[in-house]
Amino acid sequence: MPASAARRGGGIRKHQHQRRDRDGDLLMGATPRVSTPRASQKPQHSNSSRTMTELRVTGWTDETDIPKITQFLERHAAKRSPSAKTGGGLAPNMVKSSRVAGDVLTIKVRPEDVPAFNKINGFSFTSATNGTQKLVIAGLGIRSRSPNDTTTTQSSETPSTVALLEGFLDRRYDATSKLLNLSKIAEDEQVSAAGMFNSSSTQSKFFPALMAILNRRVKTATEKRDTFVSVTLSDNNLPNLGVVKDLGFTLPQIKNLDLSGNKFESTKDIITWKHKFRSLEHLILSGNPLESLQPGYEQEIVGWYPRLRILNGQVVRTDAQIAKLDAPKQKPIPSSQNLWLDDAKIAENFLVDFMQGFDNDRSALAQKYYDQDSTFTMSVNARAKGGAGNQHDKTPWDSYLPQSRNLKFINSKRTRFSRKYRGLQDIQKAWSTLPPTRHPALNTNKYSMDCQPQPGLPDPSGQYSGVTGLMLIVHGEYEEHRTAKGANEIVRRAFDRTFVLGPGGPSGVRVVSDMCCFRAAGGVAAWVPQELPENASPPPQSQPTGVPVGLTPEQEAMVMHVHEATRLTLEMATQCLQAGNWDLEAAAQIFNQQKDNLPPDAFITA
Amino acid sequence: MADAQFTPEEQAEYSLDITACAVAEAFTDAYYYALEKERADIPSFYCPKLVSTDNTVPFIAWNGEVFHDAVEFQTHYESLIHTHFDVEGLDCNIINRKFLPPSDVEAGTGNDNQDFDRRMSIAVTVMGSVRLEEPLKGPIREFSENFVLVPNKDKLPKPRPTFEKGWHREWVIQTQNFRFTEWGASEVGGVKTEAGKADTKMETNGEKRNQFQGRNKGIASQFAAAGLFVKGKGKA
Repeated sequence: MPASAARRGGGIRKHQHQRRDRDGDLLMGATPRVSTPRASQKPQHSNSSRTMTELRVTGWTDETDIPKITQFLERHAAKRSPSAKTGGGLAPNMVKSSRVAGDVLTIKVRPEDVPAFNKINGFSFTSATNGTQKLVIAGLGIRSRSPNDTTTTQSSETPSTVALLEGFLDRRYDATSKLLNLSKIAEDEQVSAAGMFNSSSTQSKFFPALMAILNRRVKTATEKRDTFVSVTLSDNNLPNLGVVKDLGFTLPQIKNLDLSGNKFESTKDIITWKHKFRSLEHLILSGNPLESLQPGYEQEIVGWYPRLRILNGQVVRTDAQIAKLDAPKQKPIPSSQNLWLDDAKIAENFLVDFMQGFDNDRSALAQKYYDQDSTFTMSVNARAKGGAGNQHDKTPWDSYLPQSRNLKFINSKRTRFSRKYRGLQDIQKAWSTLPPTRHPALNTNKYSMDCQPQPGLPDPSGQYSGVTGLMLIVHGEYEEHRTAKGANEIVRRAFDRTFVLGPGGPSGVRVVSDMCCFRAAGGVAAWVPQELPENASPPPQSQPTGVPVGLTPEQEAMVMHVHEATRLTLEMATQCLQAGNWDLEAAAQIFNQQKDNLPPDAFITA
Repeated sequence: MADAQFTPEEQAEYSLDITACAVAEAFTDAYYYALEKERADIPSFYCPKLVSTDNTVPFIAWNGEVFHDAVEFQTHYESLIHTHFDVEGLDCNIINRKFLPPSDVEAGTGNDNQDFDRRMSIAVTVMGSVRLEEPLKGPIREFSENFVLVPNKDKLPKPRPTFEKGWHREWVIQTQNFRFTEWGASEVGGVKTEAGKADTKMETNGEKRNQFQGRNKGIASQFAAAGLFVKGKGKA
């Protein structure tokens, strides 16, 4: 950093040598790119009266090559000049005049062409007689290509500048309070005597140089944290942080910062440090115009620094709030409890009825609970990447997709609307296209069920503007008998189904909205409680588990039917049906003949 | 918009459905962004607290825990680890077209059978994946979430609202229910399931999945090596 500051000093002097009276060249040294000369920004119409820029070209060997060199320069500069017309043919007349003095070729060019000549600085010119020569161009607006140029002209003042800055740091650092006091920099005697920090251009060099020296003395982050706790930048008349922004990089760990008595007019003037100073605890911004110009700025500032405790002497955060930041973050664990706010057992009865009805007779089920204003939509999530990830069952969704209204994939407004089923007939029709399903018994751990009050539902009687019903959410898995595309298999799927239940309808409960999401089955670990699974799920009905395996969904449905009608255990019901050759009538006869001879444990007890 | 095949009733339904879908999309975009990056904004998504005899809104059920206050929920959520939500499935239904009384609609017709696009309450169902702990590397779970959105009386939109300029809380959450529906593949082994042979089998499966997850981690570190993702960047 001090080296760069010195280089800038060198840059200034270099151009003073060239007897140029413009001061724009300060910029040139500071930035690696050459700024376009100002003349090019203003269109000038009088060509003849315009001042030309002189450039000196060195590096050539033979004077007889001069016309060719001039052409060479014109040709290459023209390609890089936005103003020159290059439509093939002759190279444009970019070099207005030239003269030779010793080994220096001086050319005059228009100021707006200077950047083009800058780009060809250092190009190699090859002549038949004299071989390859590297042409070096010098002049106003031409950046030196050779690094030696700057190092050789390094400032002789550099050591004294470094000493000045080091002395300044020593004077301004208080080791007992670990405070770096950078207030009123311009009023420091030695600094002002050296002419530093009194104009914006020297300020922009002074502070980075100071930070560089600081970096050189205190190298590691831990060392810095131990050495510097507080920094004061008060009373420096800073209009923004442009000059001092390096502090945010050099000492990002400080805890106290004083910016009072400057000229900040809004929080935009200090936004550079919005994401700096992550451990800042105490900030002073009083004595700045922003206090009156931007009332309520404190709120914004407090938002910037998560650990800010005191702003302008006011406590803005309590210790407890800051301690919370350091508290270890929790990871959500499986919830052991279903949320079941259903005192009147409305949702419970509905769900028992629904699951059986959906497996066995969907049309009748729809008739019972759905009416002309009920809506049903379904959506397929075929791309679930959470959970089991790639281990998901990859059964195609062919029979579901034509009705899927997944808004993430179905973008057509028409299609979306056409896949929204409203009214009994539409819903019955939609359900009839879904393949046959079998849901497991409700009292097993296969489901996660939530039921919560849902206010503001439409009242079919029109009496009230909003009535309270229930939102019922079921997550679980089911088996599907898949026959699409010639398949004949039992596949597992998972679903998330949301019912909004309101009063009305023939059964007293009507479905206002029914949204069903389907996804590939991936296990039920998310809601299997870690311990005590018995109390967790609300068993809507006591049903023994253990449906015999290896049956078709139709057969299983028959088993369930017999089981409910006769109170036989599932095993006995299966045996009974097998004896009756899967005919309900025959099974019923067998049951009636045998029921008195059956042992008590053939029936479910509760 | 007028369509010859639609009856006027269907046409009205259709335009309401367009609005509801736009609400669902804009809302979920904004809400899940806030859960990840701007947790301080969470309370602004909820309706004002209203206690009545049979229920209290907002009703927020998050993984089995119930909150009746948006700030309470925010406090809870701020104590959680990083979460990144990816919505994979989205659907919505209009629940009550007359949720707001017509008198509440500013510059509305005042007619009970009009202005539904600014009076309706909407049920939104979301399913997707949620990445925990840290970007790209953490375990992914599957989640399902339901919302009922009601119009925000203070910020009623213009008729036929679009959300090209972002979501400005035109609808707010009245009730909400969040559940994890699938546990992350790398986490399955850690969760106790019912003892039994089938489950030991499951656990070995879980380990295999773990290995796969490990391969994913390799991809993440390749990204990091390419400078596309710097671990810990953006953290305080």
